[in-house]
Amino acid sequence: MSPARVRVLRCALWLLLAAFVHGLAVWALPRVIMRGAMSRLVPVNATVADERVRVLYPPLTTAASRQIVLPSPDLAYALCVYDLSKGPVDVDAAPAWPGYWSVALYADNTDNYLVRNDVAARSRPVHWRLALSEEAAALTATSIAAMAAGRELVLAPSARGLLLMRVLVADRHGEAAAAAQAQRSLHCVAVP
Amino acid sequence: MFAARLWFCLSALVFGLGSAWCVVRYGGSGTVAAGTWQSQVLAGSVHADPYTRARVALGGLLALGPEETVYYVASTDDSGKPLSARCHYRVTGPAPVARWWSVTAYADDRFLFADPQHRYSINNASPGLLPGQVMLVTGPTPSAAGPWLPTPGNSGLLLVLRLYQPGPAVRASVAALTPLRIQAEEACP
Repeated sequence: MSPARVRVLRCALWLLLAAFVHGLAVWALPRVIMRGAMSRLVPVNATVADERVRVLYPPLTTAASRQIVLPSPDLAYALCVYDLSKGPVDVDAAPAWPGYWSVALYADNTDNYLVRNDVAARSRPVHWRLALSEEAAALTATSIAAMAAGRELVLAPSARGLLLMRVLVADRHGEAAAAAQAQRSLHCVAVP
Repeated sequence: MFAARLWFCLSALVFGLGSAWCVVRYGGSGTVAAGTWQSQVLAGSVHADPYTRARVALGGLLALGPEETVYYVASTDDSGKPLSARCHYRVTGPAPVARWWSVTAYADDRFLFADPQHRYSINNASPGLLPGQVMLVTGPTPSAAGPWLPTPGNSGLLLVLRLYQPGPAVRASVAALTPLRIQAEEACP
């Protein structure tokens, strides 16, 4: 092979390698940040159902809230970090709140793959069974079990993820106690 | 020979990582402007491209999808000067069409300014606003011109406008927002 051809090949290989690293970095960044956030937001010693579900009811956002950038001061949050690799997780949310609330699900790549707000839920409680997309036979069994338990089956695109309930607090001084009660209406439990 | 191979691999690694960082940090794909306000069109969406995902992970993790909430960020005033916590700005315009809107002030580290009275945002339920209008003032000291968002310290300033359940025009096109004006109240160093 001529030296010129070797140089061209080396150049092409270098570009290919650089492009691969570029793509890998862009793909991995949200996943790494999400994983870090899930650990930071809900430490292992938080209110724990078991290792598959961790739940947190943080206080109203203040200047001291520094886990996630751009926190909204208008919202009370409650959240669950879940791992569906060993089985489904049941979610119940009944904030009984007169204004806006929503329950949002995030995959491990940061995608908000489902959100249900008070209007869509007609202010009724949310009862979900979160499960992984599985093979058809297993999915049918999961679906039947979810229906039997009176739950809507939600298929998650990734085993690990995060659920975030938002309750809009118009008057943080007057509504703090009621908001805390609404937060506590969120329950996430691993299905045995 | 070993040194040449090491240089070959390391330079590709550095170039790959550096170019990824530059595109994510400074690239503008997927960003739409309404006046001086910028919005990531697909923030939080399952249809987001990898660059938007990376950008949102860095700058606004756990965003809701655009059908539920639209986020606009301003880091400059209407004349294009970077916002500063030391200056007073008047934010004015027609109230956005949405079930709920709010304007929140953040320091340039993207966290809230310290305020013992927890005055972090002005929203459509805040006292002192005229119906259908936004009129607020940010700055280190209060202003008689309108409701005040305190911005103590010497840092930069970011203003974030959130629209929960936005109206049909903004849902159809994020750029359709009639932008709120951001004007410095006095000469700002």
